[in-house]
Amino acid sequence: MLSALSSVELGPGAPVMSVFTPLNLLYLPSPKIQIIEDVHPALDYASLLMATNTDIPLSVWSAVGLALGEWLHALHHWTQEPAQSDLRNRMEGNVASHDLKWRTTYATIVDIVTTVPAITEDHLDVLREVRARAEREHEEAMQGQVAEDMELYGIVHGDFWTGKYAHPLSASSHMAATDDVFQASS
Amino acid sequence: MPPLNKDDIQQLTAETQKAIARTDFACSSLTRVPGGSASFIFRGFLESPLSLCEGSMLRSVLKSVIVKKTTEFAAVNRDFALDSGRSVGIGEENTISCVEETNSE
Repeated sequence: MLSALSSVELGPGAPVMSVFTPLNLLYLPSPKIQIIEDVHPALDYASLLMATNTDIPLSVWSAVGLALGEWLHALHHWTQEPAQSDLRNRMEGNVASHDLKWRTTYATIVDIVTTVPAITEDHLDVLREVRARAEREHEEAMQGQVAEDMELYGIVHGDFWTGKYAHPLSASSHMAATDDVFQASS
Repeated sequence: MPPLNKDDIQQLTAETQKAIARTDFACSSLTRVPGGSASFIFRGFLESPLSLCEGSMLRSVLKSVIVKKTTEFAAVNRDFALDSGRSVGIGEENTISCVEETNSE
């Protein structure tokens, strides 16, 4: 994936934000260690968001979040292009990652959301349906029963949720910003 | 949801450092990097800096690398079992660069 991304030029309509992909330098299969280029002076996004001594205006955080979401949206489109079919086939063969995605994304969602007071029984019914459908698709995929024209698993893992680091914006602007990012990445 | 305790982390760090000691990317120290709920992510400072080339072009001089260690459990929760084979295939997509030692300090 890192190799594939190193030469990606996201097409017309792509966001202006520039994304640098580090090189995959070495993989040791037995101890399962991957060595990746360290990009200086990059700082991980979470540390930046959590830093208490920053005086970056709140509007910048929204802009960064939206730009990231737009980039991810463009990346989703790129992964679905015909030229990426070999990459898709290789990534879709990763059963362990499918299973992890199922467990962390769908399997637990109803139990987790049930504890949120604002969630109603109607909401839960929808989530139960989503969970049941995902479970069915997951089992079919695990047994290799997927119809050829059915795209169950994209390349992108989807663990790209920065909302948990959101600043305490006003309720409305917070919702607008995170909702846009979520839609772009879903 | 217990993460590893301090001693276990130290042991994992030492094992990881030892596992890469005979590669070009031998590190004098490894420090945990925030993030990574599934795998353990370290920044390692190379014992010798390396020139990273693309074709005949110098891309950068590496003094440190990111080291990702995959285990059979989640980095944030040792009770959450994971298939460490989830990273399969990474080795196949090595690498568009060459790495050689540099004289710079």
